[in-house]
Amino acid sequence: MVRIRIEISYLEGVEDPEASTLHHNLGVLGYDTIEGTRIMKIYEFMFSEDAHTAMGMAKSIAENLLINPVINKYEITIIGDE
Amino acid sequence: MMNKVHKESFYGTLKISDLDQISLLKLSEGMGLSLNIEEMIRLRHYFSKMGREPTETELQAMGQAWSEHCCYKSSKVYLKKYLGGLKTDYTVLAMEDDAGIVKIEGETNYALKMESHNHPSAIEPYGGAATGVGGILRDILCMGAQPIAVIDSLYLGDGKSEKKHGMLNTKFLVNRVVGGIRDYGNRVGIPTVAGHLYFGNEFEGVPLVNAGCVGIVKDKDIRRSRVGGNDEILILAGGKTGRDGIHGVNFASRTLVSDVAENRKAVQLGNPIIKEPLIHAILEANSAGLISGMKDLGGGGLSSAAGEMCLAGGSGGEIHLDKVFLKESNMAPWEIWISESQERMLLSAHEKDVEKISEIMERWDIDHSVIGKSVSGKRMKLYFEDKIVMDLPLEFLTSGPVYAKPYFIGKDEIKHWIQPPDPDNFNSDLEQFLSDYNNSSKFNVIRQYDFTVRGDTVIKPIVGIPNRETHSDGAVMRVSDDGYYGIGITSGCNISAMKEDPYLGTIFSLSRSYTNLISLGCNPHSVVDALNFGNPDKMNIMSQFVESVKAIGDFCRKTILPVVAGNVSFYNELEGNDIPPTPNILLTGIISDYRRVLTPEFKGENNAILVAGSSSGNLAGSFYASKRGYAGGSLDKIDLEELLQLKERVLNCNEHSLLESAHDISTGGLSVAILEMSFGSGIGFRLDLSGYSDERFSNKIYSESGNRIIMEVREENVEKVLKIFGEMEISRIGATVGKKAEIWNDAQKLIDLEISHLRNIWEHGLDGLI
Repeated sequence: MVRIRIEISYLEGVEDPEASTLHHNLGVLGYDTIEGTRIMKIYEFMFSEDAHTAMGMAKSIAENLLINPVINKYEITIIGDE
Repeated sequence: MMNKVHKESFYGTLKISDLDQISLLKLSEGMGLSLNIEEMIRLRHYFSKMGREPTETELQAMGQAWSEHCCYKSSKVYLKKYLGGLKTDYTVLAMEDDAGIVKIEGETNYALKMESHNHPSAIEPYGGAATGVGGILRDILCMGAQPIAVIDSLYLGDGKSEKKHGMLNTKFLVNRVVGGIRDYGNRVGIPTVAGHLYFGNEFEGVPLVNAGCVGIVKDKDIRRSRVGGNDEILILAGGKTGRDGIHGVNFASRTLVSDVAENRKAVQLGNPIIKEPLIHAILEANSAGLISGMKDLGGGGLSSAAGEMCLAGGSGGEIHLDKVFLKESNMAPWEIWISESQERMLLSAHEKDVEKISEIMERWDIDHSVIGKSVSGKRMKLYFEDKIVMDLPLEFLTSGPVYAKPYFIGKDEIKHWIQPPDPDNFNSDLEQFLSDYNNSSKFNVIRQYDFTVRGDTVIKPIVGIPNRETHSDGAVMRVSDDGYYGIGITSGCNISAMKEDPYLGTIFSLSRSYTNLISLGCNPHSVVDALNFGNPDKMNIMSQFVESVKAIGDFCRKTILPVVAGNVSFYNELEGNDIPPTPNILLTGIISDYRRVLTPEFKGENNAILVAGSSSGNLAGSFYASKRGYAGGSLDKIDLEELLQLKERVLNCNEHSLLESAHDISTGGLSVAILEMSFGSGIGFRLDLSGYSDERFSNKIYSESGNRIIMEVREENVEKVLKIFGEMEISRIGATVGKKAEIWNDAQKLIDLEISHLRNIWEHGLDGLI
């Protein structure tokens, strides 16, 4: 079994309203030394294939279903191979 | 490259005086200006006459100001010709500022506007649709009005054909568009109450997202989109400025290419969490009389807003671009000037009021900064770190080219009568027809929207008894805390009819909106159009546009309705395929006492069912014909005289409380209309159409021709209703009874189905898509 992690984040220059609201409000609550805030989404998949095939599938899932290339980027990592 | 900034280039100039045509075009493309060769030559000529070369900021500002989106270069001539002067005595502002303003009564007015956000929604549906809502809210807000209702008309692919290369998957797109509207509208606290949904493969890869808004404003609070004179302070309030949305207008002014990565720079995401307090802050400062003029930053950003506000106020402007709050450091002055970042408003104020405005903004936690002032002389001067980066006369900036692009009107005089053969079984034909995306209930979409927040929604998009709801003909919004005035709102466009004939199809669409409002008991009051067309460089597309605009003019002159605002979106094409002409109409109506408003669901058994208005039984332009694959039929002319009579009589009957329910016959014809009335309460009906006309049965139940309204009338009131209708065509076709849909024709029971069974099909029609 291969465990694969896909991390989706916004491309640089795309404003994430959720992150900027969080950032702003942390400042209001006194955490005012935070320079920047980003929010990402992580998916974990357990594949029964070998690592190579699994990576290909994960890439296809990310590109076709999980992201819009206009605003998002993704990073795929193998986090376990048992 | 956009992100590489060499500071010395801010102040230097670009040599264009010795560029030949090819190099000029290359420059336009390289800088993303989207200007054509004639326009580039005009620029070269202007600067050589001035004896200098332009700065980078100047060229970018020109590309922006002369874009189709900002200066309406292809449409202006025809809009002026056909829609100019369409005002009534109750029109306060028409086609002048960011939104139209119309008087309701006394000192109360409503502001309204509708705009397209098609191109951004095609590549980033969630952000595109959300910022469409955000933009239209600001258009209403900048008139000084409190937004009370959001309207969304969507024309989307149906996912039944193959996905076009490089474009987004239809299901993804539909869900994300609806999600964008839901998340923005619901979070900003303004209800999404009306709209239109059409699914067809014509819109695959080229979705249309038209967002509208209605607001309420008292006479004293109306603000114009202009500075009050010289030496006024310009304040930029709301969101920070970033690189998002750069070249959005240039991007909207050309054809989409099916490589999403190419379109990246023009995408923006909205932030309703900033917008909500911004609305409060602006309205508070405005009602305190601190703001002299304001404008929202939409397409064209600061460049459009500041330029137009100063010019309209008879002034020029001096703006310090380094005073603008930025999301990212190292932005070039031109990027700041034309950025289309969301949630920003430009205000003008007297110097003495600036501090008070600041206090209000701070209380609402809104970023704001003084960025410049209005000055005498109609020039726009831009500074960056005290150095001039642009100095141009406003009149030149706004003197965008005007094209009377060629078109032809070659009318086919031969009438084509289409006649799809009768189905073997009318029952199963109806079941199948009802399950189509365009006939089925739109609950899966509507139920995602908050349509009651603020508590002003008198008639919701969903009406009827609990668990048996149906669609209303439009929304009705309460106007104020005193009195019972209501505004009826409806929006849409009949694509099947538009495909057959852009002129008659537009009249058809307008009359459908008109009958929607009558069915609510509202008196049609004002029109806004969002005109969505293909590539205007093609003669046939320009013809569609001209005919459609002419039809709006003719319709409104006849029915005495003002056209108070509008928007044009061209270049809705993909790989050479243009969308069908889509003039989306936003029509509002007034009811002086909303307690008398009508809804479509049947109210009781054994009431008479009457159909008012005439029909030729023609199937041309009907959704039924289009669905069966019968195109090319000739549409009937709509009798506008009859439409006016219909309005007068239906409203008269309603004034006398003679009607239980009413619903207009529109997409799907009589069959779908009467079923929708039945679905709202579960009460069935028995109709006998033998004497209704001498047409075939399928024409009787599926034709959409004419102006017709179905009315449910108590037995004791039938005579009174017939008397009010007098000479006008009205037929009694049946009665409300039982729990079945029964339709007889020439002594044969051709439709015999359980209402609950049909409703189930209808309610779940969209389940496979959203």
